[in-house]
Amino acid sequence: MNEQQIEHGLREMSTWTGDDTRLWEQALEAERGRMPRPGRTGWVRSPRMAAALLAAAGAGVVLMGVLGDQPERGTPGGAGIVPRELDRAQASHAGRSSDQPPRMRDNLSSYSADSRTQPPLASALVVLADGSEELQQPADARQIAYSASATLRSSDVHHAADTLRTLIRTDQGEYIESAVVRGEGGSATARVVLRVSSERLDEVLAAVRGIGDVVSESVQAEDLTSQLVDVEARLRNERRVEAELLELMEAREELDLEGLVRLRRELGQVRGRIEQMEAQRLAMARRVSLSTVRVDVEGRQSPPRTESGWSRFLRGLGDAWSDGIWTLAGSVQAILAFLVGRVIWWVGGLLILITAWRLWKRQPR
Amino acid sequence: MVERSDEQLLRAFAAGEDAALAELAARHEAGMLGVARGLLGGNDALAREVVQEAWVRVIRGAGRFRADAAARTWLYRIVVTRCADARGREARAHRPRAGENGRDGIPPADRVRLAEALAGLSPEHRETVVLCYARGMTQADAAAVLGIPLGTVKSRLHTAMGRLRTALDEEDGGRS
Repeated sequence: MNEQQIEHGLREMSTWTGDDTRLWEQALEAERGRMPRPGRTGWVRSPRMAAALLAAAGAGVVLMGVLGDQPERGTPGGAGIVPRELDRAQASHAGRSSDQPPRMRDNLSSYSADSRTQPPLASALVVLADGSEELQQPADARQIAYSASATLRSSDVHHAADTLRTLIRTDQGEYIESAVVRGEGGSATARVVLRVSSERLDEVLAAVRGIGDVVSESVQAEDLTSQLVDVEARLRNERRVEAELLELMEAREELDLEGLVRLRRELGQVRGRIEQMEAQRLAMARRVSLSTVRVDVEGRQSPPRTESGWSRFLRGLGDAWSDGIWTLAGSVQAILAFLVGRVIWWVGGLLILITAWRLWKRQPR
Repeated sequence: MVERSDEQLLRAFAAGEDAALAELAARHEAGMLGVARGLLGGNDALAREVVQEAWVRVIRGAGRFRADAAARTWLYRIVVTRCADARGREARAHRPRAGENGRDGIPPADRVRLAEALAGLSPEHRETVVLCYARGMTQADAAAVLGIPLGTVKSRLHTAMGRLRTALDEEDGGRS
């Protein structure tokens, strides 16, 4: 190839002569399902309105800094600040009265009553008559995958593990992902991982709590909506390409052998990608419809040995000292957590208030 | 009626005017597809996918776009970045395949050889060559899209063309 042919070839390769694709339209359609319509905030154009809103937001942020709480993730039930609202939310999930004391500290940082009452979870995956599965989701539904973990203490670890295994309902597609029991007696341990219908997560967690003494518990949520929307958009695109290729195949009388072979190869690749994306979509839908519950069970050690009165007194003294130190450390930690943990709220609120003040001042009088 | 600039169209879209995005696409979608096609070795289906992804980025980022770069430069920069990602993703499945659309010009066999030679270049050199030969793009445009000085573009283009010629000559020599 000479210089001119190379340049010509490069120009040709970097030029689109295909049909009118209107990909922007498909992208916009895909995005519509997930973002607020641009321009709807047009009414907030007045600087004073913006300032007022910012001031309100800033005040809200500062208030949250003062009143809010961010419980530690999955820490053992110890000293800490648990607001009454959080207790109430926990109580409603556990199906008990808010006046009852909480049995443990739940991690609800990414888990709220509102988010859990949404219906899309189990309804996302539908089993069709031919046994295949299809994702059916309302356009505006959030697709959230929940996973919970708990640590229990039980005098009979084997029995606790057996009871955990009975919590699943196979008719709802639930199953035991793994179950491992090690050791005997008080030193035995077990880990059971269940996949349960997301709609039944509360019910299963309540049952888990009844199996032993809860040492810790946490629930986490992951929003898969955007990933699902992305896969859907790409899938639609690939299906359209597949349909176009099939149309070309139907008119194969007009193609030479080389063209036909190329078309078949391209069709195979497109179908491969479609299958890959469908598998991704189904895997995500399964994560949404089935929550993971991981339960660790520890055995209770045998009761302490008999001691003489003097050594019992000394041990009591040591325990009291140790408890005192831990209580002091816990209090200092709580105070520091309150001051330092909310720095972001203090700073954020202050910045918003300053911005609001500047916007207010900028308004021509 | 005065034609609006790309930047004005982006701002109008961010304010809620879908027609502005349509107008922007009418100006640039074919060019974006051409660049994607060139960077992806002539894979039309993948080029479509990449440009659609690029539009998604544009839609999400339109409200945050600042006029410190031309909107057109921004669009092409997104395409180039998306192509780099897509190449990694699809490298296992695709060989270069220039000329899927069966257009006129150089023979199909030469197009395939050229696509293979282009695929053999480093990503920087390939991006420079494709952008410089894309329709309506100048070397200055390519420099802006890649975020490098014009002199670097010229030097990369010179090196890349030399490597392309060498690769094609070697293949010619091997065949004769």
